[in-house]
Amino acid sequence: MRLGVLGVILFSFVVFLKPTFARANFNNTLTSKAISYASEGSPTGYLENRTVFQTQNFKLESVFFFESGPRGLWSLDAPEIRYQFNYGTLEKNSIWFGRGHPLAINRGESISAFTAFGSDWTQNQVNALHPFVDGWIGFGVQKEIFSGFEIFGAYSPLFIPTFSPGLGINKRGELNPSRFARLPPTTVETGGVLLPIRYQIQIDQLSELLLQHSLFLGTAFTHTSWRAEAFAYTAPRTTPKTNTTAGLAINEDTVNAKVQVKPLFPRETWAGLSMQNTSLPFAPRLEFKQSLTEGEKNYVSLWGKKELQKGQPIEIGLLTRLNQSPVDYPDLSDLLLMAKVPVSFTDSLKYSTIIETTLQTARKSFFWLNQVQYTFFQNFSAIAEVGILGGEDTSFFGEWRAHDFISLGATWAW
Amino acid sequence: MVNTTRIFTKLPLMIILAFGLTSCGWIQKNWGEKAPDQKQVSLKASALPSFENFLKGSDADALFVLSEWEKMVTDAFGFIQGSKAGVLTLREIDVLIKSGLVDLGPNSSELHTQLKSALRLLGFGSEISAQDARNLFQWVRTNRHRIRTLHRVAIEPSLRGYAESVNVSDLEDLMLLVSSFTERLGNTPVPVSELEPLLQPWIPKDYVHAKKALKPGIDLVVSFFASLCGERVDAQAWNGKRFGDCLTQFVGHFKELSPYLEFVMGTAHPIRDRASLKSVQGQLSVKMTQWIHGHHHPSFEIGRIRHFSEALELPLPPNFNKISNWLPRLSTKNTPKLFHPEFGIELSSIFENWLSYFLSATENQTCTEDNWSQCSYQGSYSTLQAFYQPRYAKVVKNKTWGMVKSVSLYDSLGRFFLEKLDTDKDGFLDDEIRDLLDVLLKIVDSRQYLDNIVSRVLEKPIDDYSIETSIEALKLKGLSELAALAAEVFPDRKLGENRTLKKKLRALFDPSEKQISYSMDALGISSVFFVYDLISSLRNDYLTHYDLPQQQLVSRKGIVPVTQIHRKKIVEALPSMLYDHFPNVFEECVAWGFERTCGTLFTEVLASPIPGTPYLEPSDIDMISVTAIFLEGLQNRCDYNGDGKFKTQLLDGFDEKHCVLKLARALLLRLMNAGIMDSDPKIDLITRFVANSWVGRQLGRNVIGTGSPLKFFLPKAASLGSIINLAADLMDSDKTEAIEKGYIGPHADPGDELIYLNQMTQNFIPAAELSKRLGTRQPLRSDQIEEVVY
Repeated sequence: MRLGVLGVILFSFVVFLKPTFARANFNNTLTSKAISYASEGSPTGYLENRTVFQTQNFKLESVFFFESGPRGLWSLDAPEIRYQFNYGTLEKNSIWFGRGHPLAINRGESISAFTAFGSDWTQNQVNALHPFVDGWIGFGVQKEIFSGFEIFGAYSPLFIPTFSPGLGINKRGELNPSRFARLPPTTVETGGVLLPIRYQIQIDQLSELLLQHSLFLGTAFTHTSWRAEAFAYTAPRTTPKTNTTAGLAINEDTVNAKVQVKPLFPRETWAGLSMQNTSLPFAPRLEFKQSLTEGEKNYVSLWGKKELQKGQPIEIGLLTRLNQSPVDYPDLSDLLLMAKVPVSFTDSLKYSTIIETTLQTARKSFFWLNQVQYTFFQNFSAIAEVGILGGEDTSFFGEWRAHDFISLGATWAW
Repeated sequence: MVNTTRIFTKLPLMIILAFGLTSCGWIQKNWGEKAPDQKQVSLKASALPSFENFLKGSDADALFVLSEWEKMVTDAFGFIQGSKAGVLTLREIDVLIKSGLVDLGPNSSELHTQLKSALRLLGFGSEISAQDARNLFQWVRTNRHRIRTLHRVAIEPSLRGYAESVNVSDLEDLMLLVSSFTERLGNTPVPVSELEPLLQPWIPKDYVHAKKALKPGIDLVVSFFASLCGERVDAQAWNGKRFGDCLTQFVGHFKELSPYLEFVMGTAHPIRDRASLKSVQGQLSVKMTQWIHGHHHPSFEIGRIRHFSEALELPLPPNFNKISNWLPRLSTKNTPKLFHPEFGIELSSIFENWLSYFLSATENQTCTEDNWSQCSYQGSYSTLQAFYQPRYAKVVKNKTWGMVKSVSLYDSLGRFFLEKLDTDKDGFLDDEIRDLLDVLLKIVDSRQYLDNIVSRVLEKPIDDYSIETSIEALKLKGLSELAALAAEVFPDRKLGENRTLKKKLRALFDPSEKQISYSMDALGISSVFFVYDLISSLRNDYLTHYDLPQQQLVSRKGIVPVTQIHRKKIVEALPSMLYDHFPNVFEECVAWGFERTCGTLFTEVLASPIPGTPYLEPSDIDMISVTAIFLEGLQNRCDYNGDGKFKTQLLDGFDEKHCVLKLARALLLRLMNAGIMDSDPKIDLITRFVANSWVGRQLGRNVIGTGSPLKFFLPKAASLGSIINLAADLMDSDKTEAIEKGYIGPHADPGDELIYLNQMTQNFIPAAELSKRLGTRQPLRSDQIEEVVY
């Protein structure tokens, strides 16, 4: 599937982008680190490359990362790859095709995974500690009806389910999961006997899974420092529900609980509202999203950022659900408070800290990342990080609390 | 105005500083915190209804239990995935058990082995499929009524007795159930040699004897069914299907004879079921012949029973080995070691005649349950009928058709053995009848052996054979002596009426008898069984209703505790026993002085206690009954005119006194032969003198009349009292002398001292009509007592 995405990128590149090369902007950042996790004896190697290629009508943003070691993984993704052309006289009136998030295109900025609109849109969570929002593959249109009032929409004939950190299920159904995989139960207790669970993923015809359409319709109204948005969309659920059947499997001289998992991606319909005042400190945006198919499901967030120094915005946010239930599974929206605070001590020495904490009763957890970056010469920096995770057994970050880490590496941007 | 930009610029520094100062310990605490335990889910097995409800509940309960269990088992085949869909192999079952998922309880390894052997026996080979399981449940559902019947028959009788709970249709159901089940076991023969390891796991390890005897037990069963089924089964291998086929055929073949079985089991009513009983008359041997002929039934090896008993460490019924001697004599097809199946055809004549005699006996309308003595038996049992009069029927035996059935069976047995063994066709069997009767009575008592097999298998104490105990009491030979006595005393052969005057005169001068013999005719054989039946009933009555405190004493290891009774208590109860059951004897003894007559006689025949103790075993009381029966029989046998006196007829050598002398001599000699009386040369000489000379016979006639061996010159009519008086003198003259002179004489055994100084007369003779024991039970109504005519 990932190769499919790569194919789409290359195809787009050849067909649509070649004429615009002349005026292209190209930014690339390559980062290499050695990471030592508290849970593991030896350090792992980490390599990340972020590319942004942009012309007047075309934008490609790709992210590649790779981590070595038995529990490492790699990912190549393109959150945005689209060709856009304007029609009419107004700048806002445009049509795009490729991959993009209709709301992000309309806003002109990426959607944070820590907001109501982005939290369950996060289609790629492989880099579990740094989730981001992907776009749809299809086409979209936006039009300014009158000054400050726009409508926009998008249609996608393709559906790409979530790529979460792999569970690492081998042919025998044994788990060898990625470090940040959300593990299903690994054992079953029945009648005093503890059995390991073996999983078997059952996926129907792949084309039936991928060829599912999504439709987004939205409107935005901007007046002085206020901006209001309203939208509705329908799409298959990005994170699957699972239909499981369990049994006992006898292999050689052992008995396992065998769970056959069939991931289901039921269609969901959502409606959302947002309001932002850019004149207030941090330009706070209040977002609310309500499921129209599951009445009790909703998200609400208050998020803002303020750029004190160029390229180093302070971000703060609150994300939660209005009807939290103690029986829900851990989620980023478990009354999440986050803050990202970058500090430049000198031109060469920079520090940033990110605190993300879920405060929901019985699911309290936190992630605290501290990063120090020292630039030796232009575009080349050394980076040191300390990340601490903690929380209750069943909580968003607490499940990873053994994976505290330190890292040391370098970044080269050009 | 505050510069917010400056504030926010400084804020991170402040945060870092604050964290730096406060978080060192916090970081240390959280760094490398242990990961949460792996997630685990719990599955709870659904509770199944107890399978006991299938057996004991209503039919609706049984169906519910079955459906729940079937659902659980068949679901398991979907839930558990082995190497093949819907199939579990033995190895996979092994894995399930070893993992603990299939919990077989504390004896899991034992049950595990049992399960494996069960699958093999059930013909499933090394795997069982869901369809197999469904078929098994379907079979259980279809046969649930029979299974529940089997449970009722097998389990509940322990509470209320087999006879009350089992009927013929139950047995038929049981046979069909077994055949239906075994037919399911597949057509794969399992060699007999492989059966033992397959069955061995099913025997709990505590059942040492059963485990040891399994192999000979299998040999015994396989050999028995090979003899029963012939070529229908394989004698060398267990083949469930062929075994089941044979049982099905067996039930079908003999189904129309079910009235026979009803009759044998006592569930047929001679009046209501008379038509059906008549319809099967004579059919049994025909059916047996059809079943056996042409099917190559092998002979049954008697030795297999011995091997089985030896492995169980269970004593065989006494003199079991004599069966070997008798088998060839009873049928030329038998050998000393082999019971030929065709002998079964010949044996079936016993049952055929039994039914015929029973129907014949009850043909007469005067023959009723209440008045069974009026039934038309094959022989005349007038003497015995005196004992089995209505009063006895009420006191000793319940008023049932069982009495008529018993007599009919005894008649049939008598006829069978006479036909088989009377080679010279003179109507009498020779001396070896003693051995045969020993064997027969042991066979009659074989239920004790079967009970002991069950007890031994269950590792419970076994019981001593009651027959053996009786024999010990009768000093080993007593039983055959009893048999001979019964044959002489009880049957009324009408000899006195048919003799000519010439014979009567000649008898005055001829030796009255040669040596006593054990010759016996069919009537005599019947009488033996009859008397055995009687003394058994009397013994039970004494133990149940008399004041005879019993205590349990542990004897040999592995044998049930022996019931013992203080000898003195038996002597104390003696007057009541005689009063209730032997009124002629009682009254004569009272008239002649109870201590001098009955007291002396019965304390002499009553055995000495177990060495070192004052106790006797219950069977020791039998001698009182035997002696009293003989004396009453003497009265009935020899008192031709019923006047209560034995008189001399000058011209009749076969007069009443001759009869008494003959039987008294027989009694004395048999008691000495049996070791009950010490062999006394003087008595032997006297009896020879009386038997072999005219003078002796005349003097003997006088002696029994006077009741004293010294008063041989006074011709006087004899009575039962005078005979008992004489017998007491002959047995122990020291005792009788002490009684007469009023001092305490010899009393070596406990209770003997009571015969002196009139103690029994003063303390233990029933003062009123009712004896002591009647105080503990419903007294007889006066009208019942008035029916007694002596």
